Amino acid sequence: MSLIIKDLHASIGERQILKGLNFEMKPGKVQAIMGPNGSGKSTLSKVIAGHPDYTVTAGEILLNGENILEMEPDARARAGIFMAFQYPSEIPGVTIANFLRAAVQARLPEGELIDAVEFYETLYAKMDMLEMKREFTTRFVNEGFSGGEKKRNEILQMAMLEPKFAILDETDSGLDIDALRIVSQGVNKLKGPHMGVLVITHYQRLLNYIVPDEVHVLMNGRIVQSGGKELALELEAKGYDWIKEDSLVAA
Amino acid sequence: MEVLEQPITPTTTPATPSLDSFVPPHFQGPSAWTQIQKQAWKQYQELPFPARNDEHFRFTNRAQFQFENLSHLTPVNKEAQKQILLISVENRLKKPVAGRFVFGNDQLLYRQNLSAELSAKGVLWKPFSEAVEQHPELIEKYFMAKVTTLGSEKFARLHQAYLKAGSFLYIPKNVELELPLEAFHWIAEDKEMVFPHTLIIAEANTKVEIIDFFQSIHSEIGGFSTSVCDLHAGPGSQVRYVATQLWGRETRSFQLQSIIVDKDAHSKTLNLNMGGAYSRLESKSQMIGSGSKSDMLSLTISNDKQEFDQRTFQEHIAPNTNSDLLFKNALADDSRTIFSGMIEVDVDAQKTDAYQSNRNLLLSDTADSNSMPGLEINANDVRCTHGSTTSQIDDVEMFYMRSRGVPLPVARKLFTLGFFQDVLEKINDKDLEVELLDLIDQKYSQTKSL
Ligand SMILES: Nc1ncnc2c1ncn2[C@@H]1O[C@H](COP(=O)(O)OP(=O)(O)O)[C@@H](O)[C@H]1O
Ligand SMILES: [Mg+2]
Repeated sequence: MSLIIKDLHASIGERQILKGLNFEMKPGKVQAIMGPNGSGKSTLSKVIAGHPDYTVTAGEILLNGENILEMEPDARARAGIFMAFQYPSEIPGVTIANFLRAAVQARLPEGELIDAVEFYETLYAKMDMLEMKREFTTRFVNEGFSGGEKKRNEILQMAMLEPKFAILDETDSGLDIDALRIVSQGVNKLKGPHMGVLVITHYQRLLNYIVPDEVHVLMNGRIVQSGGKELALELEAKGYDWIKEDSLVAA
Repeated sequence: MEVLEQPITPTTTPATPSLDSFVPPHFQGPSAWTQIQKQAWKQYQELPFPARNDEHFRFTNRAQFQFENLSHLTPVNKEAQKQILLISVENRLKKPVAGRFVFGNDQLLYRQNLSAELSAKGVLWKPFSEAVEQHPELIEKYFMAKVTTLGSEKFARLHQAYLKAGSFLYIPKNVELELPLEAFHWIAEDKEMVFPHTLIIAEANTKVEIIDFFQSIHSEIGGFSTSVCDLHAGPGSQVRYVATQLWGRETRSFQLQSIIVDKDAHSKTLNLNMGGAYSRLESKSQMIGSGSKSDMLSLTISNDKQEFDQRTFQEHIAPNTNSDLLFKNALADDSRTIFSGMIEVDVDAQKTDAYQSNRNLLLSDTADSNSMPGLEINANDVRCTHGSTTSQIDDVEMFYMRSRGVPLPVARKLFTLGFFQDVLEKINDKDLEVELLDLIDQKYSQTKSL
């Protein structure tokens, strides 16, 4: 199981954002990508997920050797990729239960129908883990949710869909300490040998709760530095400017 | 419950090159009734086809008016009967109803009569042809007494002239029905024409729900339907009428509804429109008694080159009356919808509270929705709101759904159902909702592009 990103160039409109990015997600590992605002972190996660606004101008993303850039976003998700959005959408009129049912159903072989009892048992268990009340199932997806509820809902979806590679884009933004704790506990329970987790953040704070095996720095559309979890602390203390200089020197 | 033998000797009309050269209907029944039908046939022939500049047919694609080689009262073969009864009866045994009729090609195939208890209370639930024989006084008083059409006068007369099949419901005052009544109208043959009728007479302080199912035996077949629902909600009554339409894809239909709401009565109608090539709905509510209320709801799912042509009228005649119309259309592919609505408040109808809303969701760039909301207010102390909106499917929301593995067609369906949610909430009946969702699933399973 592997997800390898090679020399990825991506743009939105006229604007080049990713400029030759190389990265490998590893099963069973928690990896972090950090970088200042505007460096292209959300762009990277959306390009992996297949957002139609972005154009990939060069490079490839290989999931178990297959280039997923050829695949529709829903096919990528079914193949095992999950992205927790920085800004999750509201979907009026569609309940969380119906949405998740459709997503789970989509993963079953053609002609096989979802077992409703089993589905709700699993759903309730995962909701308990994330300390979500049962009545959430009948609420419309993200409509009127607080920031914390939206992020919990993202992790709930991840828990239900059991991806092979999960990308969490700024999952800590908009969370108070309690919500941050609940969300992180959820991620920590879900991670394991069958799943690689990529935590994207520009704050070190989240990494106190979800401790990464590796930390990488994304700047100006490229990974410019890699290290262990102590790199996050260093960035927290010194900011990003020193790296800028380093990478300039390196370049 | 009994399954009927093939009941009526069929008369098949030969090929007709256009609607104006229909072969005359086969008149049958008591003379007062055949008199009505003969008169209607004459009027039909005299009335002009809607003129090209007829305001009631603005935006209508007249190329849709293809009524050729149609037959009537073709016998329903054994295999088709079996299929019809399976869907309309056997598969529904779990659903308790007060009564049920099943018609195929305008012929009664099955009937579940009222319980002895309801019959003893004086409730009448009869196939229309029986009502004509047994209750001529009620027919004379109520049958299309106030049906004023919104353009389709000629088709109303055509319906009257050919009418054989339908439901007749009479509820004497103070009787409430716990369970709904159902009628199925099937087109069981390609190029068959049907003329379903629903006459509801709810006397004072009654309560009832009735559902019509319009369906074709194969999703692809053609045909022609002109149906009329004639609803009389007596003082203080509560009447709910639901019509679901899933005709075959080559079918053309005119569906005319007249809703008369008397003092303090409340009528609620819901149309679910999904089938047919050209489907025209004319629905008119008349609030004739103070304190009356009419809720008019409609959901349309269109795709391919389907055209749904909807004309509505909310006429406030008495003071202190209320009407609330919400028509929602979800359009895919190259389909079209037309909504033309009018709220009319008469001089005496002070304190009218009227609402009219048409909302369209475009699921493709080539779908086309036309909306013409209208108001005509002749009283000074009223509250009337009307409006229409058309929105495109939201790309960001769509990406969000797909990023969870939901395929495009399923995502579109979820959006559509989400878009319909407020109408389902207004209906506020879980059992009916399940029934409607089931029919909606049928439409989706028939069509790959959705
Ligand atoms: N729709 C857009 N059109 C033009 N530029 C955009 C658009 N979306 C993002 N950008 C720009 O792309 C760059 C990278 O954005 P993003 O990937 O969201 O950064 P990050 O998540 O690291 O903060 C930013 O400079 C941002 O302003
Ligand atoms: Mg971002």
